[in-house]
Amino acid sequence: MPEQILREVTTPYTVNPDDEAIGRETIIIRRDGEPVAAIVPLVASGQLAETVVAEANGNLLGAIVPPAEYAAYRAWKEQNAPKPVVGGSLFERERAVFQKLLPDLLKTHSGQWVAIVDEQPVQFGPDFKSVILPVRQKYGKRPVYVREILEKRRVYKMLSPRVVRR
Amino acid sequence: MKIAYSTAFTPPAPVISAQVSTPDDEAHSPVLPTLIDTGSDSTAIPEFVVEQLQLIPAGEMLVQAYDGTPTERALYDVVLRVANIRFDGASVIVRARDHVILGRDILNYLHLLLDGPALTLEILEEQSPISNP
Repeated sequence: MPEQILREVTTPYTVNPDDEAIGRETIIIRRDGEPVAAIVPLVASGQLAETVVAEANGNLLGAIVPPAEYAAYRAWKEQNAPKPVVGGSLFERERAVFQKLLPDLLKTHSGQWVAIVDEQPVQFGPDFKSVILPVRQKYGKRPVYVREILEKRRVYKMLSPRVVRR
Repeated sequence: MKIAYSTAFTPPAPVISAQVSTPDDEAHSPVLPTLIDTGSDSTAIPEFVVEQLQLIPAGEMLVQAYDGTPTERALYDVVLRVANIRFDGASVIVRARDHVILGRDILNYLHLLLDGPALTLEILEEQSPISNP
């Protein structure tokens, strides 16, 4: 049987549970510069075959996975990433179309919501949901520009400040 | 069911859990602490969720924060699960927080009792498991 020498750990790897990266970002654990494991946020770990959960002080840190499985996960993630928009931002283009069509839309569909897809108004409805649901069903996950047709923009208020105590 | 206010906020605040997902991948979605914010017209999700769920903009909204300045914000469509109710095609914006802010666009579908002195929140009615207001 081949003999393997394991390097003795002299300083333990510590994770601060209050670190904002914990649970959000993938943390790579290295030994002598080489990755030995990754702690993947639990939200993403569902794509992984087997996971060991890392926990500290009762807080879930993520799933510990070996480098090979993490590499496979990265490949899966890249493969499933949204396709880049060809010819600049499709979203910007649809927005420009909305601005161009707005004077006419105000005459015909004032107060409604509209979805612009492929530079055309394709769906109207009384609210965001009634427009986006059929559009997603028909066109799938792609940039679409949905907006309310109003002469004066509605301003949505989110007024609650967060008090920071020191 | 009574839920104790979260002491992560000062003063303690009503916080529940919400699941944010996309229609094409509901299995892998984060369950996030969610602040009940009756002062918000709209619902907001943390920035990191956009990357995790690979959300793409679906529109725009003019949002006025507490400093009074209206700014254009990208609008995303997600599936929200709150208090056993599923909200398809929910519109959300992004804010630099680590929790969801549940605005009145969603809260107005819920029966909630905020018991300030007891620091508890109660969802008064059990909703049907899959409904779509």
